[in-house]
Amino acid sequence: MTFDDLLSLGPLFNICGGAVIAMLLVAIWRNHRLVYYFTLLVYILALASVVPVAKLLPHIIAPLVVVDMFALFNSGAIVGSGLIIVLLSYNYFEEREERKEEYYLLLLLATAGALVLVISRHFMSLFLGLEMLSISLYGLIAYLRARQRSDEAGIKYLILAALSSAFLLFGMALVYGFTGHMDFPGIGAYLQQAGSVPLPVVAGFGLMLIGIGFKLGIVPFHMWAPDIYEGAPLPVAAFVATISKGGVLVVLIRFFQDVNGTQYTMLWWILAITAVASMFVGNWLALTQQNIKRMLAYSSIAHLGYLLVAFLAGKQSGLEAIAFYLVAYFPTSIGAFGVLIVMSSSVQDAETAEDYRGLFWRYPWVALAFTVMLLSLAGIPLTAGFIGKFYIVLAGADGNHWFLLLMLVINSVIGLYYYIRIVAMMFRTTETPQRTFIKPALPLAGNITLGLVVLLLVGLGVYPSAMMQLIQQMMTLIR
Amino acid sequence: MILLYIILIPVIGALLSWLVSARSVTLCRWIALASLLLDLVIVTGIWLDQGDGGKGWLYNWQAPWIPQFGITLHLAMDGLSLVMLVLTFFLGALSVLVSWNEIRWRAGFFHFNLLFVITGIAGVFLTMDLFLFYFFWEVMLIPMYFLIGIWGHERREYAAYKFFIFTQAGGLLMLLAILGLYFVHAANTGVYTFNYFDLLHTPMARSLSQWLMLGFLIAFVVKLPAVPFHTWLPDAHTEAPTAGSVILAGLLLKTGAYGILRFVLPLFPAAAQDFAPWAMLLGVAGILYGGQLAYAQPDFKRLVAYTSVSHMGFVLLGAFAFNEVAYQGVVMQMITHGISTGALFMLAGVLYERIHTRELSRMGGLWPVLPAMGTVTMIFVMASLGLPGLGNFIAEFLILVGSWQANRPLTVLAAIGLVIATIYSLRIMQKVFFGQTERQFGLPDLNTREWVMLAPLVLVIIWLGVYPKPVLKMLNTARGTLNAARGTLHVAEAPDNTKRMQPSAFSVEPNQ
Amino acid sequence: MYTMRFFVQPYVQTARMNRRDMIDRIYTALAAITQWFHDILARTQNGILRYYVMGVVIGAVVILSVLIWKVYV
Repeated sequence: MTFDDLLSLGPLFNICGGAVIAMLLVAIWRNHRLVYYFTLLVYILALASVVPVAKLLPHIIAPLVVVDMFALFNSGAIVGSGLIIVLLSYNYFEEREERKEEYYLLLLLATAGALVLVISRHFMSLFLGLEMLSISLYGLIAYLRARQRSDEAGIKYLILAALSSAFLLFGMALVYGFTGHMDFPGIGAYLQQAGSVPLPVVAGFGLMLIGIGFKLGIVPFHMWAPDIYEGAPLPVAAFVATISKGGVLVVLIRFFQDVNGTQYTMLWWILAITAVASMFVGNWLALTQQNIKRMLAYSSIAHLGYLLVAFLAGKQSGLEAIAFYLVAYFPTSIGAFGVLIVMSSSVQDAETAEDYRGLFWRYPWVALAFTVMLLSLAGIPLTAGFIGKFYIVLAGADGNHWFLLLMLVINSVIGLYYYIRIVAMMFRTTETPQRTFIKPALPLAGNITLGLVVLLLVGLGVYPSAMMQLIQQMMTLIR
Repeated sequence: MILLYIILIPVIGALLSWLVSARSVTLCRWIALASLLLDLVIVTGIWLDQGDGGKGWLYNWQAPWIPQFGITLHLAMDGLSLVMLVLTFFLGALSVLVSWNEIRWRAGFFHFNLLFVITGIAGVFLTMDLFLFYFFWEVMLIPMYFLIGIWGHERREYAAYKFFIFTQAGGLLMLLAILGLYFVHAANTGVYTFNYFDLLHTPMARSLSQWLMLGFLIAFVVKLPAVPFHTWLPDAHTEAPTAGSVILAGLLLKTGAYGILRFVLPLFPAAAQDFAPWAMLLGVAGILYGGQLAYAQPDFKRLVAYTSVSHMGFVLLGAFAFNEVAYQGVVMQMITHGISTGALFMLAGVLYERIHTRELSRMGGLWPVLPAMGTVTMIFVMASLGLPGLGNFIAEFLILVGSWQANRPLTVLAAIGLVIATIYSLRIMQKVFFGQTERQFGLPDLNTREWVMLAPLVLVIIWLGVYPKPVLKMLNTARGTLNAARGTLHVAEAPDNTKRMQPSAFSVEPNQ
Repeated sequence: MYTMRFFVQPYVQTARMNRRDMIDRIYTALAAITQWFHDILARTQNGILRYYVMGVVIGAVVILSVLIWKVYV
């Protein structure tokens, strides 16, 4: 390995090294605060190490890894999101669990897995990253052992993830067996000069789609989402909603590009049906959901559907749209969970809509933050979510996929209902029957983090061109 | 730059007002009022400045925003938008006055939302960039949602939802159409832009232009509202607080009409002509259906809400008649309807403050007790039914004359609408003020604040009815811009009977 | 008198019958349909793991069948 190789893997090394040292720290001196600050430091260092890589691009470490602008951008996004999640985690775990320190360990490992995913160009690194992510998540989701829902969610995730990983492996085996290659460009090259695509390879792609689809939470592999989001600790749910999905989406995009997936119209049609189904199922299920965690789970199913529309549009604008939407969606989701975190007390999560009744009149700033998050999810102007949705519609119009766009519009309208329902609940003024509200923790770190996220969302919503320029530059280098 | 200030002043007013409200609610109200009056002074000043000159665009301002997409902050003002802005700030200031006593709870946030809605409306009237237009279109929604949902009456949440979802659905379809136009233009010229002026005269296939036109039209037709997309309106108008109803009826509905005049007709002239018979039919349906339903309502505000549907049917009818006279009538109707319906809602609010009900069955025989209020109501009821001498008559007359050129049978039906208007208008007077009652009302008549609110409206509606020339003259400049926009479209020019509309026909002169 | 019977009565009667605005029923129906879809789907989220596994398997079967059928036929 040359020095350049090591440098280009900077973020990954930081996180992995951090995980090892954190483990040692926990062994030597078990102290929540110490591990917390150390983890923060690791994430900040990893974020900083993204910068020097920029001049090395693109850098291929054959055959497993490619570090191009797309990978670097997403690495930055992942590490940044991880940082926000860690900032929100301290107070949440402080009160709840006796052995809190291992959480940070697992989080670091999961982040490392996601980072491996975004740089992978080979089945081995894909599987490695995916499993690292999944196995860490098994532990993370079930972390609050005392809570019944946590165990249940962990077991469900374990079984379903193992099932879909098996499908993924079988698919990869079929593809390897009939193309002789495991690296994405190799597969693409083989298929190009092979003329007709052998059936087992197509079947392999389909099977791989199952594994990927589970992680993304798209129909019909979406059923785990509400139970997991409800049972997992809130920061972990935020992680699952964003980083886990984002990492897999990036590798899917890369695979599709290298294999020239757009020529397989059948795959395109399957993805299109999945996208439309995800949008409808996600939005329909969320309509009357009173538990906010479950509602956010259903909403993320729908949002993956929207993202798939941009993916299906293909072209330059489609990829740019996905990148921007991820940049908008990550802070929004984490922010939404962040609101739940700051509103939770030490014994109970603030998860039902009733907990937010009249929130604006009790804690106006938190309510405003939540309103901004919800409006961003709904795609109302002045927020980053609107620009993201606009970008997706633009990409779809560019590709003339008017039916898909019509479905997107209809679903946006359906989606409005449940987002606005929560906003309405927060602004409700009718006197409630005598009810004691959860006394929210409102930790300082959490509040500041939320404030910054809100500023980011509104800033991106009002002045997105700087980010767009970055994305457009990045996209020209993806190939 | 002045256009930017016109939009910024209410925003700053909104923030200041909210901040100050923690200390003093009265100061917050004054700040809100002051910012709107300031803007009113500015736009009136611009109007008076114009005098005879000013063909075409009065002001034009542009700044880059998202250059990757060809989106700029582009604002421009012509006669049409100037007239609409004067109406906006006039009614806006009055709506602050009307909520002076009515809104006590969280007044700061209320005024914040109120001013933000006005900002959105002003932005809609000024913007020349399609993305920015959609942006402001949406910006109008959320504060209005809060206004209805928080300070409204019993079914306010249902009404707020309905309003929001209807308008958003229309808006999203318009977004699709905007993007369609964007890409068609890019395919033809290679330039990616959302600029209104660049997008005019985009050559495109007939069928495509029809679809795009429909996309735009759906959003405006929901806002207008045209039957059968009108069902959000009765609930929203009834349940909103008085200021909310005034702004809804007086201004928000006009944004739909404005959108048709500014965007649908110039951008897709051929497609609009193809669709014109249907649009006019919808207009007439609105006039008759809305009018009949207005008569049937047991709730005062709901009755007035349905009259809005009916009056805006005239707008739709006139807009698609494609001649100068009808166009003048349409804009006059926008202004006078805003004033007369706004006034009626204010009176409903003023009455509600006294008797705490909107049910017509519980009113009656109020004239002896409230003669001043009765008189003012009578004036606006007469305006609503189209009595000559008041502004609405001019508007409806011009529209009918214009649409007669275009489509005779529909005009006949629309004229029947005038009879229907009389039916519902007189019902208001009959049920509220006349008739017998056993109840002893001990109610105060209009106080100073209420007179300050209502007197200007009375004066304006009479002035417009008697001397509409300044407004019509200001519209000349807009006609120039819209004709230029329509390009080579052959417009069915009305014979020059505008001479008959000159003030001398209506001023009360003994020897006429 | 005849005006009463031919014009006024029908007008007033139809007005009274329609006072709740029939057209609104279109939109209430749309909302009801959406609610109905929600109710159907909500039954699939029953928390029973076997159902979830079955969901994955059904999805797998459908995808594979479609792919294979399209290539062979």
